[in-house]
Amino acid sequence: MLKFILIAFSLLCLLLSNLTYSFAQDEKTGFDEMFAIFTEEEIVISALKKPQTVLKSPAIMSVVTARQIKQMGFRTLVDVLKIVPGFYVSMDETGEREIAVRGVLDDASQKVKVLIDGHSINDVWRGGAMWNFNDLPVENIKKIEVIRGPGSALYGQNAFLAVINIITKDTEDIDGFQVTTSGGSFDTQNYNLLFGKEYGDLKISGFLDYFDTQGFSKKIEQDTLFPASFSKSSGRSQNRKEKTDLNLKLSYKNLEVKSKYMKKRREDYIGVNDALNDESILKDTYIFSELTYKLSLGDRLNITPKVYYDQYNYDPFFEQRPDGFVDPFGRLHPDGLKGRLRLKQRTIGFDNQINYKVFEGNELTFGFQYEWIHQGDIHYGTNFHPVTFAPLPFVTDFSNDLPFTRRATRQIWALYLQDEWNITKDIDITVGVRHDHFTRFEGTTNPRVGVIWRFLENAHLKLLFATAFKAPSFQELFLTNNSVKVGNPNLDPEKINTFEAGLGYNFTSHIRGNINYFFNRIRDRIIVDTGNPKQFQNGAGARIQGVEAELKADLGNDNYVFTNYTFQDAEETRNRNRLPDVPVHSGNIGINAGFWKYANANLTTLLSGPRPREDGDTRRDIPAQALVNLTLIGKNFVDNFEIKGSIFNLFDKSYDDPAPKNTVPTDYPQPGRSFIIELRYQF
Amino acid sequence: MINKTRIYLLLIITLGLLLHGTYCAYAGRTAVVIKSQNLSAYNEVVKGFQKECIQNNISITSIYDLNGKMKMGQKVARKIRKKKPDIVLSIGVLATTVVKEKIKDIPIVFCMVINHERFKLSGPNITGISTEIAIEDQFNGYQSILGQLKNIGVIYDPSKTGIIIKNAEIKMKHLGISLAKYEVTSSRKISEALENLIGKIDALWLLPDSTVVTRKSFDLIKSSTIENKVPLLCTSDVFVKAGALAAVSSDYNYVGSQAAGLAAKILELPALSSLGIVNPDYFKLSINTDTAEELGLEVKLVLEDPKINIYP
Repeated sequence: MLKFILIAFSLLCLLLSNLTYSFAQDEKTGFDEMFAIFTEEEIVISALKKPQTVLKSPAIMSVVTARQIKQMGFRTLVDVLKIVPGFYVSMDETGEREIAVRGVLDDASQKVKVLIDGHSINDVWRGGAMWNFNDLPVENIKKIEVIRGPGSALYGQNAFLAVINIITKDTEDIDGFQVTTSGGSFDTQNYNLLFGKEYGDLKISGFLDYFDTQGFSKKIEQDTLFPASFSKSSGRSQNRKEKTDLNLKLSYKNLEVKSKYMKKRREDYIGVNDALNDESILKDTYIFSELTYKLSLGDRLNITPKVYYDQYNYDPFFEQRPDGFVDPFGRLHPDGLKGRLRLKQRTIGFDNQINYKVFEGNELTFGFQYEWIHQGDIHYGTNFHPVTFAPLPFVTDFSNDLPFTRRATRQIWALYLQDEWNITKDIDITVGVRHDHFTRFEGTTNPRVGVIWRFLENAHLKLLFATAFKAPSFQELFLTNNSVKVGNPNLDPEKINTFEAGLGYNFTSHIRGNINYFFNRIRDRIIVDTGNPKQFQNGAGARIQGVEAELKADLGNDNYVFTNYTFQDAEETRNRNRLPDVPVHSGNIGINAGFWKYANANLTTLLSGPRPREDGDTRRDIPAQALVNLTLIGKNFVDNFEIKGSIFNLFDKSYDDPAPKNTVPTDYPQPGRSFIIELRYQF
Repeated sequence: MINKTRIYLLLIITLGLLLHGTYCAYAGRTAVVIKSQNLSAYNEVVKGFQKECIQNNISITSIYDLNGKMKMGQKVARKIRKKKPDIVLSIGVLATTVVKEKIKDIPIVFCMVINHERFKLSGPNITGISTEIAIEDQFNGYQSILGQLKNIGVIYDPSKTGIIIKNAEIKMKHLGISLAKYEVTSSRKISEALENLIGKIDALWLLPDSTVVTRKSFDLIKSSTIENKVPLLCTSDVFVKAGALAAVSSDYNYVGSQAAGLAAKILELPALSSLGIVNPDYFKLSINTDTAEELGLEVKLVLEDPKINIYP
């Protein structure tokens, strides 16, 4: 009986497995096949329709992909931005990199909005993202989209001159693990673990990055205190840095959670207020977390609500003046001027974006955003009296009596609406407007209009107009009890009107080029006055116009050549003085040769014309420079293994970034030739 | 801080691994196949590919079927990237689009993509076999059974088969054939198109255009052409099986063999390369004798010719 049951059971299993097999193998034949192939076409066509290409984007836009980033040997976000037309990178006295866009260089790059997967990482203390994220590792970046031109009509404050959207890799891009380790000049070491895995509907991806460097150190002949006996010049600059980055993305069906953690500890390059020092330590921590729900109601309506929390901890110890400093009143400070600052900023926000396809070729985006930003937990201790400068025997807590800033809260309500309409096969029009209401100043409304006309099969014309604003940062508003500069709570936002015209042409299927003209008019620029201490004020405006030209030839097999040139004429409107520290002419030339299955070589040259000085600075302009970087990649020798070597500033050119007037006369010296070797393994 | 000696040690180990890898790299060639869905035509291609791969010392490690789902493509692409085969054969537009987007550093050979120009399938690592038989070969085939054709009609959607028509028009002129075109953007216009064309043409050329060919419209086209004694000429034998007069189309099994031949050639090249998009080397003529009878045609048949398939 048992035998019989076993045999019957086995036969049943066999039958079932055969049935399953034959069902799985049920191939379509004959006439049905043709319609199955047509259905396949439709699936592909509808999938290809979704992403908007650079050509169709209603903005002047550059995209740098992960592949280019790897081939060019870029290690950080600013490295990538150096090759974007209209962008220029310069170092400040603390050693952080700032980006100048279309002729304007300002403190902490406040006029550029930086997003990671659509989440803003501009901190409210400085207004910019570069203090914390200029050295953002690129290992987990899928692509960087750079919109040159204003974006306040969609992104609100700080999207003034440009918007940088960093898109990170997902599970599907990683699928497993990738370990990267690198080391090189200046005792630099970097370890990175990238991972991504899918378990049914659950997707997990992220990365962990640890970076440590002694940094380049240069001889500084004269600092701002020279020739006083207590000046540490001539001495050496310092640039040691240790940094940890952690990213995590989790998604389950329509729900997605994104988180980032960044902790940085570094030395001051020259020193705050341009006095050489050896005790300053700058510590920053930034975390954010965002929860998004993607709801699709039919083919036409998508609703994407999200809530987010950001926290930024600023915790530096500054040695403002060295031991033995004698202040202007003749008082000796045997331990110099030292101070410990601390503040915490928290942002809680909600955004709900609705996308509605009105009809084929017309999509409406409507959204509401609310943000609550609070600055608190302020600590301030110095070994001198913050107002009278009188020396104190030890570091004394002034957090309650004379804090360096104050507790403050900003609330923002915003409404935005945008319509993208493909009027004809060859003409697209985009109209958008956003209204932001801030607690400290009245609302601001910023419109945007863009027309794209594909007037020939291979050519298009873009005409764009937009306005944007930059709200004053908390530092500009609330810095107080400071001997050098103080904030101004009565500041108004800066405003800009931008007109752009872009012409693109595909010469052949391999060669394409474009040329863009832009005209920016800035009002109510926030600058520091000449008082003592200096104070932030809404000053004169600025007028900038320029041309950006690009040519790219992609010959296939990873063989490509690119070149771009930027002309920017930037002047302030009151006295028509040229805006300082940004070259009028700049450009890049790059060539990549994927000449062998096992190797890739890339040579990139960054060119810059002379950089003008600010009005009244008698030093000669920063001279023109050409820096060449070479990157070689060895691959496919061993499964899943890759080796990369890069030499930066190949010809060891000596060059400097500009120091402001009356600070470091010989400017901020930059690194000579350096190298990095990287090993990468995927499994 | 990293010690310089450690860096040199690391470099030496790496170089050793690289040399070992170089030796291993030449040991064997592997291919994977990814097909859009389970169609008999696609399976024929796979058979041809498998047969020819054996001859070329290429081993097929996996055959993936996307079941017509784009989402499935992402998973399969990840698996392929992990396997790191020497070459990928993609069959159908869905599979080809997926591998084109997701695989950049492995050579790809695609086939069975109707009107490939529409999907911009060129790339530094992409080689393909077009489904379209050269216009000269197509019309030489049709004329071999119908005699000289002077006026050919065609109904097409410019957004789908516009490029084919543009290219065909020039070539047909050289063959002494004039092309009467009728543009449609909806299958509802087929009846109107037929009314306009049918009295002016010697034959109707039916392209694989999803606006023109639907289940409903095909019946209308077939009945109208038979009623008006106009031969219906197609680019796929499935239409001949369904009642069209004739088709010049590729032999799917041979397309697979041709793909394996291209794969072998690509693997001989020193760098990741493309051989461009080529026409099928081999094609066949299919005829429906019942339809020929209904049209009252005396087709010149060479029954023993292996290039001719007779239906029903």
